[in-house]
Amino acid sequence: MNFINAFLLSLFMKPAGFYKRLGVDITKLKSLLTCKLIMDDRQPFSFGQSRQKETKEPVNNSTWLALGVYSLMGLLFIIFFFFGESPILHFTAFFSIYIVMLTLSLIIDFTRVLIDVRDNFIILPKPVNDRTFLVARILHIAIHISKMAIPLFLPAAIVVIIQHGIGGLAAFLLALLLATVFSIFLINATYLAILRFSKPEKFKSIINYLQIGFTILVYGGYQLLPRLINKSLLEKFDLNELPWINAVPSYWFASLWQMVTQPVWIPNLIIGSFLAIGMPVAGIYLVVKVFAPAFNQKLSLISGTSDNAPTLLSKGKKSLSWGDRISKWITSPGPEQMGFDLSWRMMLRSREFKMQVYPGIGYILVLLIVFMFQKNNLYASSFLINNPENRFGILVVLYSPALLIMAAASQLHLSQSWKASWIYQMSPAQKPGQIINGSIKAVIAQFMILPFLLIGISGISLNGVAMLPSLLLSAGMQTMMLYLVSLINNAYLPFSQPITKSGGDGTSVANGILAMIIIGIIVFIHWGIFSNIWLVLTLAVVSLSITWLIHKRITNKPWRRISFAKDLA
Amino acid sequence: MEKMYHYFYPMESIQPVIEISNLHKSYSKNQVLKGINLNVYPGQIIGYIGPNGAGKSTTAKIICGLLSNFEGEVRVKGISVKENPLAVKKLIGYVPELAELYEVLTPHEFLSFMADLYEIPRQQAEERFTKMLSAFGLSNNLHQRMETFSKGMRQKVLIVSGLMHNPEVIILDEPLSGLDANSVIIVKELLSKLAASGKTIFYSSHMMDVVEKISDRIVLINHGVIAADGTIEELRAQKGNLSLEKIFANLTSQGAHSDVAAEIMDAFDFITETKESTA
Repeated sequence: MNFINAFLLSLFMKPAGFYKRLGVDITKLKSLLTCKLIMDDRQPFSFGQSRQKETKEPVNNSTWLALGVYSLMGLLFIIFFFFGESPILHFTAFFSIYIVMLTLSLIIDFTRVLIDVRDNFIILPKPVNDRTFLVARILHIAIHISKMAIPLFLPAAIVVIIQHGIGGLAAFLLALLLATVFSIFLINATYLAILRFSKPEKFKSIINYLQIGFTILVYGGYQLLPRLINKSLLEKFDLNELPWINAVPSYWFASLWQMVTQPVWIPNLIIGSFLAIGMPVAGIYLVVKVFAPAFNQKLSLISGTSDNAPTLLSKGKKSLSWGDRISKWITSPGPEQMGFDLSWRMMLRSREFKMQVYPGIGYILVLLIVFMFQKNNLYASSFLINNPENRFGILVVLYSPALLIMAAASQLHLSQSWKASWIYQMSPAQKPGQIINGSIKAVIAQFMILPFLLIGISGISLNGVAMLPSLLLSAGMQTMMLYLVSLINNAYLPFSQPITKSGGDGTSVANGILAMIIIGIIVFIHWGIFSNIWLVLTLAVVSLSITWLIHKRITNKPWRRISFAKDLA
Repeated sequence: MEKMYHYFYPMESIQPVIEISNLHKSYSKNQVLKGINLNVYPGQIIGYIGPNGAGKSTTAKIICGLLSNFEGEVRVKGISVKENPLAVKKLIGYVPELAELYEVLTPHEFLSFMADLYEIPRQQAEERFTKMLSAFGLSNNLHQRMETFSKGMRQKVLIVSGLMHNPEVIILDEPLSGLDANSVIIVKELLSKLAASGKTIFYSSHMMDVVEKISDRIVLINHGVIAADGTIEELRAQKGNLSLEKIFANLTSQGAHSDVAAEIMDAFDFITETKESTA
């Protein structure tokens, strides 16, 4: 066990006498915690790590890695204390990011680390009493939160000492404690809400979507925060004046700080500081008295008991899904349709695929918002192509689906259940390339049709047919790039390769970056020839012809050019 | 059914180790156990068999004190599982069906922690589990993380963790899954020796051939009730000298297996010949 875990363990074991009076077996408690902390250190660090890597190398020292990342973030947060003069703004901003970070990363860690369903099989059959088990779980969560919270607030605490002295720090720590308690209440409430409104089987996928949201939020914050600060928009108004400000929980803790250090008798501040104390107390009461019993019971459902018979699905004909309809329309029956149907479903259902590709949707949104910020305002008129100033922005929008398409293309051959690809090896298909083509078409159907419909309809309704040539060229170019990346990558059949540390075989990551650079160059070329409609149309035809040629080439790819994972032989 | 128990122990004086009376258990609306009555005596090896979903694992988990929400009475050495689950857990060694363990730990770490939970002194525990793992051929893997272990190796670690505290009652849920032929022989041998030394073994499985060979008494459950109970000889005598596999099939499947096989064969000609063959 490393130094930090050992230190925190001895710290949290200090009130051993108190635990003993609660009926806890101290030796067993220490043993359980040691076991859990050693395991934490060997779990891959969760932050931003959205998929399980199939790696042979054992994970070590995640604690140090996590500490480093959280300290860096903590350092980043002190930015808030240097813009504007109003401490209430500083603290509201800091508590906002603190609560969001803590809540989101704990929601993810709760299922992954803190509430381990294997405990039911491993610890519960052993003679450990409920109190010991419960206290072990609570202390494990407390240690976990400390490891995250301390590096997040420590840099800010130093700034608070410098700006407001020791008294300011004491008030800050009090507010922090309450904010942390409030975050724990939020996590519990989120869990119960998810469990209340969805089936336990869906639970894990909802947590995954939260994780995707988290990734986008961090990326978006990284892109947008500096711009927000530059705008110095926020400096101009006083938070205390906003009538709805007490709907923002972070304001409560900021106002508590204000009222403890330099009381100002403004109604909002008074209400806020009452809420800062009242809400966490009420929250923790709810968690202990109401949530916790229901919580444990519900959690046992997530693991699912093996004795439960599978739910019977009603027999009878299933209606055709969108995927089935599109596949009938754009693929030929046989291997190609199989490639399409398989990829369509795998892309929608496979956790690791979604984790890698869906954040792209968020990135596109962030990109568009950043673009909006540069324009300072967003009117429909900034998308009119007769004004040459708007053209680059329009092209950014037109080519933004590439982010998604390229991400999908680079993930298409990877899967956690890659071993299932034996079915290809056993199949008597003459042209395995058709399977690959089917899967590329599935990417087009899932990630190109909808964005281009949206962009196309809004573009044409604003600009009329003048929009068409550029629309056509951007669609042609992106399709061509998709096929090109697949041609380079496509010694592989869809979902037939293990996910390794470097994401595929390393080259696919490099290919992805290369593809983005090429897309960038294409955007510039497109921008340069924008007004020459005939040249644009000619290039569109050329790109589509190249696409068709690559399609042919992939179709005719023989078995000997297909690679399988080494272990699958 | 009541009479049958007395075939084994006619003397009223012997106290059963496991007493299950009128046990009911439901998961939400689904009733899994519908009144199980069973007494198990010291030194017996009970083969607890039944089709998937019959309630085998549920029974095992209830005896271990893992599921508290049940109706009826379950006692281990006279101690009620409901009233004093901790005392029962001390008497029991449990080997779960899935290879559920913390695979980021090494066997040495894992077993040391488990020993703490059974209050075995570390030194003594280490001597014991090192010996047991060496016997299983895992002496070189003692300090290796279990992530890389095969299913059989994990199962061996689990068996050691279930036996380490020298329990009086051993409950095994499919303990042989993933083990190779040699290890199966070792475990079978081990179970006989344990029973001979007075341990009571509750063995839940659907590997008929193993159950037939090692069990003193076979309890077959189906749809949450006991469908047959007795030694293999008794069952054979009642059911017309069949193998356990056949007895099992007769008692648990609705239609004869040959009908199922015929239906499967029918699928090939379903367009032209279905009507003729079913007519």
